[in-house]
Amino acid sequence: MPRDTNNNGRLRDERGLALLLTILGILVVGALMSGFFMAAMLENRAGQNSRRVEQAFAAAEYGMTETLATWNVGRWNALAVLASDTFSGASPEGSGSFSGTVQRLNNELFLVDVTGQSTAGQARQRIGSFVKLRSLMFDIQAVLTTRGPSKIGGNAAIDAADHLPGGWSGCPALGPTLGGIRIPDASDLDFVGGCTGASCITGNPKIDEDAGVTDDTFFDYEDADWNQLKQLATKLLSAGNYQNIGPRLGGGGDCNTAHHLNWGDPLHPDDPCGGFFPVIYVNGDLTVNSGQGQGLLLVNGDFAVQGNFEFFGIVVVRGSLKSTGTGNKFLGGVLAANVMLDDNSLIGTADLLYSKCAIQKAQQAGAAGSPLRSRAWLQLF
Amino acid sequence: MNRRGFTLIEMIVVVALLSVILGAIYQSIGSTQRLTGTQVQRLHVQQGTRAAALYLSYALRELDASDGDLRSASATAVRIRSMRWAGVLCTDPQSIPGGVGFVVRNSLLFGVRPPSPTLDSILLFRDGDPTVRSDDRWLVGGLTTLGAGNCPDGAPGTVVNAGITAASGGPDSALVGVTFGAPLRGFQIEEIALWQDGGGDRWLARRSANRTGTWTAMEQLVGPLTTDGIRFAFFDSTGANATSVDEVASIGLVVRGRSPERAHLATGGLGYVRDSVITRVTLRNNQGF
Repeated sequence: MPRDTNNNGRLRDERGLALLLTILGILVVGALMSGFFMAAMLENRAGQNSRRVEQAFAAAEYGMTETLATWNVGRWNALAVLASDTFSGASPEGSGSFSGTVQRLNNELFLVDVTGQSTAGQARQRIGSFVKLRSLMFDIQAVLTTRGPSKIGGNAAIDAADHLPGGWSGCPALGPTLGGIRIPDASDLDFVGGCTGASCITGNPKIDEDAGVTDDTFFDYEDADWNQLKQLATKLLSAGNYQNIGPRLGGGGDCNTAHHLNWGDPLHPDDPCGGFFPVIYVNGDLTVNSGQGQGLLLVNGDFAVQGNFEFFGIVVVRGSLKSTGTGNKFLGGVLAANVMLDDNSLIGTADLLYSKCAIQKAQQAGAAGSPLRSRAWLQLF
Repeated sequence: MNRRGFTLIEMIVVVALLSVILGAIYQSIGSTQRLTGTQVQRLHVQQGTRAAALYLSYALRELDASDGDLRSASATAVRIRSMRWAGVLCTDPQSIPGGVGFVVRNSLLFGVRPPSPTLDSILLFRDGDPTVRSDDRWLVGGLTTLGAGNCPDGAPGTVVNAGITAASGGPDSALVGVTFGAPLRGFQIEEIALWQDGGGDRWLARRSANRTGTWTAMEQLVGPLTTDGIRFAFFDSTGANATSVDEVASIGLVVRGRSPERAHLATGGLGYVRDSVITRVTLRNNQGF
């Protein structure tokens, strides 16, 4: 086949369109692909953004649900008004994370503020919930509720008029006078010494004979029973004799709530431990000798008070309550009952005074947070 | 021999080849343009429907239908109490002529905009007996004046004077049971609807009323939508169709969008690109126990 050569025998310099056409082709295909790529990328981004927002919102809602379901009774119920505490966690399967704060608004209400984040943190959603403490409801219709033989004497005084603890704030208006002693069978009462003829009792009525006082009165509290109350305890103590119960401060002057003898400071409500209302569970017989405390005291046995002890709140004694010595005072309400109960004696100088406020604070001590009945949820920005 | 130039046949072949190639290029560019145009329209529709669903979810999930936040409802429109802000009192309410006055803590004021006495009505939480939940309720009222002030602890606050409706018990109902720390919400009545503009296009639109009941003009939010672009369905707590607005526990949403311009469709021919989003919103604030 003849070849087209110049005189030197080399290939002739022929110009063609192949390269140009190839480049054009590549450009066209490239433009086509770029267009598809751009469109796909934009669509993907839009989808990803929606997914991340949903993921962050779900993480926030999970955080809120988790926080309310595991309400930190010991820590958050002890917050002072406007004080706050932080929390954080992750939603299941690495689907996001959350962090937030619990801030106390007043005695009953809190604001839970949760920010949820998507897996890689590109999206955030913030929600809130107004939370109210779901108070434990004790059936307190008298200063002292009992169902066994009881002896009242010495210089004991039972006063069912509503008393406001000195210096306490955030209390409801004074309520009506309650019954002095509520008991299923009044013949079980034995008044001796200075209380002959129930003269040491102020109440409406002094003796409230009520066959409706049953085990449930002492051990079933609408939302909780005795074992559930034990679960709520912020102080679990073994049986024993305890002295000098009272407020303890940490190194920074704050309330050392971890100390086993720190049962709050009812006499100095503005001091660091004044807002600390523990739920104290004593597993067995308890003897106390001097000191002060507030909150909810649960005694899984007998309770002997030997003098100079003051407690503001609710006392539930599974066995017998015995008060001797001088300077004993209970402000709030006392329930003492047991089928083995053979002697509830209040002798010496023991004051049992009704206080709606002290009872309310004690009920809140073991209360879990629960969203308001309506309009609790809010979108935060 | 140094021969230059092309023969006629060569020229005809070249021109013919170039015509074929340029024709192919032209077609490719045309296809690319059509595809890009279609994709742009598709993106517009997808983003629009997603945005509409997101907006409706935000607007609806904060409702408490059981306490009157869903004022009216139809398949294409809802009229709601739309929450604008929330705050917390730092004082107890005090009696003032025609209402109550209190201070709201500024550090606990959240919302899409600040409170406005000309626009906002309020919901004020009344705790009643703090140990029980059954007597908790929200008092309805209206802001009358706002001013700068301080909380008792010196923190910056907003002085709020408000009236409480007779249906909520009047101002006296706020003087007992409402205390410092009580939550407060500000809201406007808002209507969200499928709305048709003068050109015949349909939009997700909204309007809101001030405290005297004067409505703003309809504001286009997302669109255009199809003729059946918004469909609400209302369900009670069992999932059955709700028979009254105060029974509504969740709201089903269908948003159907269409492209603003016609585009080449995959099925052939020109037409509007359409897409839809379906979701259901659970009302978070309905009354519980």
